[in-house]
Amino acid sequence: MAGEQTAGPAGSKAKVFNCTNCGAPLRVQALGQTLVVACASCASVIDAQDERHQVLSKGARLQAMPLIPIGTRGQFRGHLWEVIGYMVRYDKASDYDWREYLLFNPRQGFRWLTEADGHWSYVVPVHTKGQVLGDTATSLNQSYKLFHKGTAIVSQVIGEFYWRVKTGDAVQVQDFIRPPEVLSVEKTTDEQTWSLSTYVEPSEIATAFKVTQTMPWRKGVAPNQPGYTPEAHMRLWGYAGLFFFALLIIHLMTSPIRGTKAVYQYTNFLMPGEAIVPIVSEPFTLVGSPRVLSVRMEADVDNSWLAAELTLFDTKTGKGFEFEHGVEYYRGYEGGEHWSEGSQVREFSISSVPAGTYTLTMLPKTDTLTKPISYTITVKSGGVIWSNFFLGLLLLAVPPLVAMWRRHRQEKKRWSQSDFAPAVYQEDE
Amino acid sequence: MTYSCPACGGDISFKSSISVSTVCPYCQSLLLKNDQGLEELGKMAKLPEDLTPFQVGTRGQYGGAKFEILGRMRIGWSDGMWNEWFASFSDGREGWLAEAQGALMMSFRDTSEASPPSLSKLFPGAAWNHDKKLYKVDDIKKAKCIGSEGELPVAAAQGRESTSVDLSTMNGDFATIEFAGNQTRVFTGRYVEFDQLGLTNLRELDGW
Repeated sequence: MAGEQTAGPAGSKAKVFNCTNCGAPLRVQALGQTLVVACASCASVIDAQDERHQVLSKGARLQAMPLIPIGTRGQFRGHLWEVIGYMVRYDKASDYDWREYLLFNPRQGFRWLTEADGHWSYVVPVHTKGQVLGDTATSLNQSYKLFHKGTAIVSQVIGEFYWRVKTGDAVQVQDFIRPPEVLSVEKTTDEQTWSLSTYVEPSEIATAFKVTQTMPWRKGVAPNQPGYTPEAHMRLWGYAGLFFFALLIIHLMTSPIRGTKAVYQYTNFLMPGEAIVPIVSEPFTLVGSPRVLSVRMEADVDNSWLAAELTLFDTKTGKGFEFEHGVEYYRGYEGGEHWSEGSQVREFSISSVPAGTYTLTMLPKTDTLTKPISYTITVKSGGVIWSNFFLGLLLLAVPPLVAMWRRHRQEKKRWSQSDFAPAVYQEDE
Repeated sequence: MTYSCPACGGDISFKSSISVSTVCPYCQSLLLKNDQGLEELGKMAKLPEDLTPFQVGTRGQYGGAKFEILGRMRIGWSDGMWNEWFASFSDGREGWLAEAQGALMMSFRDTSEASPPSLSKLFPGAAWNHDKKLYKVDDIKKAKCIGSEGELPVAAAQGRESTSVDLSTMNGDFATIEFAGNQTRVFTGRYVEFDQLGLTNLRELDGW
């Protein structure tokens, strides 16, 4: 598809001349800085400074056209930029390629937009050299981790460039990441160029430069793609902690700790040989909002147990709530040590018991008695039920835990493309 | 003090006391100031067209002091061209605003250093300890003055050749050691952003 270089937006004083090789119109916007213009039609790289406009080099004939056409202007990150150049480069070792768009503003200078696998970054030149120590680079008090080391080779150029670029040009690159940023250094024998890339959502680029075609689909995780950062993580746990305290306070507030009030108490003995009969309590009344009832059972069991089938009857509705309750206590002396198991006291809670009049029916049970057991059953109103609280706590932990797991997966995907993955994210052999 | 151009008689004045040359705005002659007055060094060709936002007369501020751009040197080397704008500071300092590959650097004539290293000792990566800073050589360019405009603190003859050694530190400090003929000049400064300079009276750019 023959590319066409159009004259710039109305009013822009770009210099226009014809390609020395094929006659196609070429345009220079960055007058005084552009050294060469690469023709979209014939892939010749033409000298832009010298009036003779000599052909300096030639690229492969078949060219891919840029997604954002040369000459497009867009308001991006606070300034007006014009796309003046387009370059495709590939990594020598893997053949993996990416696209770069040269942005120009006469007051701000040059920037780049890069696109790889559908992921976009905004690149700013960094004039201060970074310091490389092992697999870490530091620039302006920030540290970045080595992600990629290789050779980048130019495979295609279209438009204006401020250096004499040609296809086949190679540089040694090192990329250090600190998502959403990448600190890169490109080296030739004579010089070092440092730059800082920041991840940009494709939608921001599409809006700024009015891209009407569908933006390329994103594949995999980009080296600098932001994800669950450690900061976002801390926030998630922070919120969980906040909600924990809110839950605690709400729980304590809705379970009045005015202390418990005994509403009914029954004490008796179980005698050996005596038949056991169910006991029905005197009615007792609960007033006010639904509350927690706790039933406390105490018995002086000694190497024995006492259980009771209890039923709480609502005298008005006739509805009964059955439950079983018991205590057991065993002890002994063995091998020079005292041991014990169980307890002579057990407490049991029933939540949300509405106001009303109730009776408690009790049927005690035990093994064949050898000695009497004295027992007391106390019904108390008030108290706190903790089971809901702990369930809430468990649910609160779910979002941060899920986030941690997702983050681990994302980091593994990110580092799967790097030869320098930290051990924890390395692919399982 | 007003002079008159030896070539066309036009009125010539210098805004800065440190300026030694100027281009006559009427006849484009390059004039050099000496004890006798003004000496004509030939005609200065019109500078090639560029899209620089600066012009002679642009004002700004840097480091708490005000400056005015009084002149420009356009320098060429094997791999391109750049502008050196002479920024005359209100406190008398000789400032240079370099505009190259979209980057801006503000530096000042450094008169402190008695003897900068000789060119034979400088190569990319070489270290220079100066003014408590560790500079490393970034590159060495053989440069040639393509043309100039306005007044300058140096005799910027067309074709004036120099070797320019650029150095930088890890903290963003920047330095240039310029070897021209038998003169060696040192400049130190920093990279700056366009928006930091509070610029006024900028050149109007069609379409921007």
